[in-house]
Amino acid sequence: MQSRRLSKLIPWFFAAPALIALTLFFVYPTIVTIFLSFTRGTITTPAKEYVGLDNYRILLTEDRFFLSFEDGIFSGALVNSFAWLIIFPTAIVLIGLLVAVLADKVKYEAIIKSIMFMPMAISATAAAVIFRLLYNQNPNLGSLNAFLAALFPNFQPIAFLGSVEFANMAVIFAGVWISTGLSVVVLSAAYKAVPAEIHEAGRIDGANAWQLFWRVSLPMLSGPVTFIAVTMIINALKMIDLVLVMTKGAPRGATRIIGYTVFWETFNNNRSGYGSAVAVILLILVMPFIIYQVRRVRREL
Amino acid sequence: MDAQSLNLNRPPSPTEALITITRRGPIHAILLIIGIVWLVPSVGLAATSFRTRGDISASGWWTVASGSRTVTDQIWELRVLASGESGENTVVAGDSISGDLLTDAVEGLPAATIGRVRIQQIIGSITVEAFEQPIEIPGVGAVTVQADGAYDFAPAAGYSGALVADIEAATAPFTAEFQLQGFESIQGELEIEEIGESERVPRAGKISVYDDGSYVFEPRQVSLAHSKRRSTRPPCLTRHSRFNTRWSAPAVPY
Repeated sequence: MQSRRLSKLIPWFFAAPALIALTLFFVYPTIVTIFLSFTRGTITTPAKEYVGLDNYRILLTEDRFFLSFEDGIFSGALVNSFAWLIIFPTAIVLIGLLVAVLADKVKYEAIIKSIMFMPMAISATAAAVIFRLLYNQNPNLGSLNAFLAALFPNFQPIAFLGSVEFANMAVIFAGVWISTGLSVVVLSAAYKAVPAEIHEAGRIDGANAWQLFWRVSLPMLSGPVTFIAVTMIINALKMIDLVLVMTKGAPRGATRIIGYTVFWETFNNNRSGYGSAVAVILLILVMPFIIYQVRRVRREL
Repeated sequence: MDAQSLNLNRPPSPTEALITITRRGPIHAILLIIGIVWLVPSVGLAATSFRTRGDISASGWWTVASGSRTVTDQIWELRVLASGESGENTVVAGDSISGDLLTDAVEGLPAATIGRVRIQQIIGSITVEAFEQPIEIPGVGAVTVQADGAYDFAPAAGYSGALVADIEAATAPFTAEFQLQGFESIQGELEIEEIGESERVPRAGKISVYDDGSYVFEPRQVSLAHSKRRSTRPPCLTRHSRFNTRWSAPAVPY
């Protein structure tokens, strides 16, 4: 009797270190953040006052840097994050697929893949600095403006990071530049793993190159593509470093995204409750993707 | 069956090679373009890493190979600015300006003449308490907003820039967002005592001169501080250098 009770306890004993660490560093902070989001306070004295859902109400209806609907156009951090969510993973997967498939047919495959992978070795901060230089409005300094000025004679330099229309796209492209390397390597490996026989069979059945790709290769690649897409969606939602170094959310909040707003409201504006509310919204948005990813990984294991 | 037709590994004839290349042309072109786009930033970073601080903000990294410096161009820009015009050709924004402050910095160590400072485009917000009353922006001028949204801007002495605002008619008090674009005249001599040290230029910013004659000027950033701690004070312009801009968004009612 005694030994049976002991044997029931033993697994808990082995799981304890992981459980304690997870509770301390993941579960506890999450619960505290959720609690803080219903309060008002500062970094040093959080939770001064219970305000109920006030933070959420202000965020979603009054904070024009988070979500606003002016002149029939949605804008704000939520919208900018949505642009990230759509463009960032799509561009990464498409360019990754393109390079993986095309590079397979040329001799300099290793070189092109190395070039694509190189940015993965550069920290996001360094990449942000490069892109700030690249996007500089002064055509003597900014390569992109210099290039466009050389191409079009009457070109007026564009402040890529300074204009409301371009800034978010410019930061997204910097993100794409950093992250596509992973996509290329993963998708290329997966593409090579597609058995040659399947391709051969397709070819014998009279499929052309285009049909072979869409009907044979792509379905075989759906696993890795989903993996990259979901990972990049999560990265896009929690992105902060590029925005912090490149634009600080300027101009006029055009590059503010949710992850950055968490930092900005909590630490710069010193409103822990408000920042926590943004963090909780971020958590809610990321959750479905994480659940999906975890389920998928578990299924594959 | 002759031997040649069986030999599948024979090298392709020039014609065949040409056909292969042209058929595969789009593949090579796409890969080449993507490769260049992906390589340029890294090469830029590598080239920049070998340059002096002054060079980095004086000329583009791709000029490294030609060895040219564009300091003279920058001085030319200064002369355009100094004529007091604020036409389109004068608006050359960069994060920091190098060389458009000193008229002869390269030769003129240790003393140099300060010309004109350009205030980069700044977007800030200002609270309009009542219509038809001038609102002072220290060092810049005064704005008077009418009830229909029209506004007058009277620049302060020495400030020749513009103030652009998009004000919709509203009931006072309200907060309007505006942009400052302009120049501020600063005349004076600057003693540069130590190479590589940064020197504060009163009302203008910070300047660092390097032993190769290059220099970086970081203009002071005029910004509308709206920090929580000093919320009792009316919004006013405060001084910041470009690299720690602290303009925060107008606080949401909280």
